Amino acid sequence: MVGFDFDLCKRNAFLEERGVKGPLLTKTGTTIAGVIYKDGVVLGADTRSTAGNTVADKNCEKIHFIAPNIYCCGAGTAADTENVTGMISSQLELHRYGTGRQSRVITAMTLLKSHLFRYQGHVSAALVLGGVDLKGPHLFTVYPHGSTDSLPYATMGSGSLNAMAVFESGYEEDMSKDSAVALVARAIRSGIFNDLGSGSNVDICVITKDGVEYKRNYEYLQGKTYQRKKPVVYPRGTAAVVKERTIRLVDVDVLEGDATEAIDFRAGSRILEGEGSKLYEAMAARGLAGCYIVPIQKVRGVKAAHSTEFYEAAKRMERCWIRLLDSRDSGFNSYIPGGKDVPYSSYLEGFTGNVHTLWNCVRYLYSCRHPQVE
Amino acid sequence: MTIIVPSGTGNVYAGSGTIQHPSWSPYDENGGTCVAVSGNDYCVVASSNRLSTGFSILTRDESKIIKMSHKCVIATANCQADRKTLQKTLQTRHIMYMHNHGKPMSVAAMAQLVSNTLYYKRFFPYYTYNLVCGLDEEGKGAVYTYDPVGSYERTGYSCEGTGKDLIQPVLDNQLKASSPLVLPAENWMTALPMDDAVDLVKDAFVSAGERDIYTGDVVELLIITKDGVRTEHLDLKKD
Repeated sequence: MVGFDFDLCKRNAFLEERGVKGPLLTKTGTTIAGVIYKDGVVLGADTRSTAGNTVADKNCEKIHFIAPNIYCCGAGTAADTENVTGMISSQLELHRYGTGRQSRVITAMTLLKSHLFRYQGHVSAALVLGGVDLKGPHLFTVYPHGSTDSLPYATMGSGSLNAMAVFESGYEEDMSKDSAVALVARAIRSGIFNDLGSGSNVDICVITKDGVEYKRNYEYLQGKTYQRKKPVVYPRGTAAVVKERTIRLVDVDVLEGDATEAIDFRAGSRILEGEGSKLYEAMAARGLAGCYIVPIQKVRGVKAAHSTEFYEAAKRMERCWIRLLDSRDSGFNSYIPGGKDVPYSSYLEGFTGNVHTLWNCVRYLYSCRHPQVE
Repeated sequence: MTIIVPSGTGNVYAGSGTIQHPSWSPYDENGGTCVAVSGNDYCVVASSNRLSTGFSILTRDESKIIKMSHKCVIATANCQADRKTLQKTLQTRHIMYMHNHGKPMSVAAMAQLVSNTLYYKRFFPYYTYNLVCGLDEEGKGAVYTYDPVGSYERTGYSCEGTGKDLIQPVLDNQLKASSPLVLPAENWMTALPMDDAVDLVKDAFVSAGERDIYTGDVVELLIITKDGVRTEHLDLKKD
């Protein structure tokens, strides 16, 4: 399909008549400018895009690629400038494939103006087109209705008068690259500071027969002028470290099986998994004694199958067993030598000094392995 | 200004018998933002000093706040011509009041006077958004906020002008404890310490200056305490 879809025009005209307002378009109330200098063309643009009174984008790109030797600054409705330059860029690319020759600036200009004229100014793109081809440097302005000018220095957009004032006072023929860039930057700055539709940074693009220098954010003019003091953010390291303790998680042995897992803190966080009797054999073989944490579900399994062994193993432990329950039970019990079930509180009393460290270790290790618990 | 006489469907204004171009307006929108935040013993009033029309800056240094007394100031955004006229009227009335009563007006009295003055022009309003700010009879911060035709209300803080859409929600979030509809009534005037309030107002202006094209250049802050009115200036972006 070629061209636009006009299906809703009648409906929208009717709605507008009844007082319905259309959507707010993003305009690039803009300052764009270009000059021809000794060896080529310099293009410049600000980077503010607005929607009504508000700034829609503080750092947009208004210098569009047309061809490797041609660039185009766009002012007007953002969508129109982006799409129209994109369409013409695409046509020129195909033309280069067909002809095997570098694109000419005047071809781009003709394609742009015929497109814009066809739509009678409804495609609101005001452009400054610049490039270097076999005939040398060229600079054009293209108006939304399709008229064009070929000029040595040109400006467009809401800040065009500000920029043109600078050009009229500062332009010279056959300038050097540096002074051309400085002049364009000054023209754009004049738009940025004096035209409310323009703002933020200066973009510059220098095109010569040898190539393109695209200087994105060539000038960053002003940052925020005040940083809020509240809420106060303290830098890392403000509070002195009083005490450090490192929990080492090493030597993880896993014995395959389905019954139980255990963690030995005294031996340094050792996790053993295994079918009941095997596990206890393994533990006995390694001389492990101390605290073991056993998820209850698995302990239940062990109890059913090997309750005696389990109990015996528990009794052999120097100190105690902690039985950690799963998320459905929130309780916490311990086994102590002698085989009595003792509530957590008394277990706490029995382990003064060490118990909090231990319990934190248990929680940490357990939550690592079973993140859904706790 | 060219007066274009449209044919056929143009608006016919009653009484005049002539047809005016419908786009002409006696008003100009000159932009600017005013913010006021009051606390238990202070009131911070701030406004941007940019004066603009359309896409042009008229001046970067136009104060929008007038000091009526050492306890009362008025900040006014939008149409500069109407602001000047309103300020002149109010200052005259205030001088007359001082001659008659031998003291400056209280904030509450000034608030009522501003309302009356605005409503007097109900059918050809002053196109201004006003904030009357100061310390009340008890020494507490007071902010009165208005529409262009004189409807007014005492609030704890307020924002008017082109940056209102950007700043007012931030103030609501930072300062309003809860809705005034909540019962029993809660004290929704900010309990913020003065330095924090100034910090908040400055931050609000810098942020509004980033996004509102009519807010920029300089912010003038008037800080009203029992010791009088202190003025501060903060630079904003000039683009």
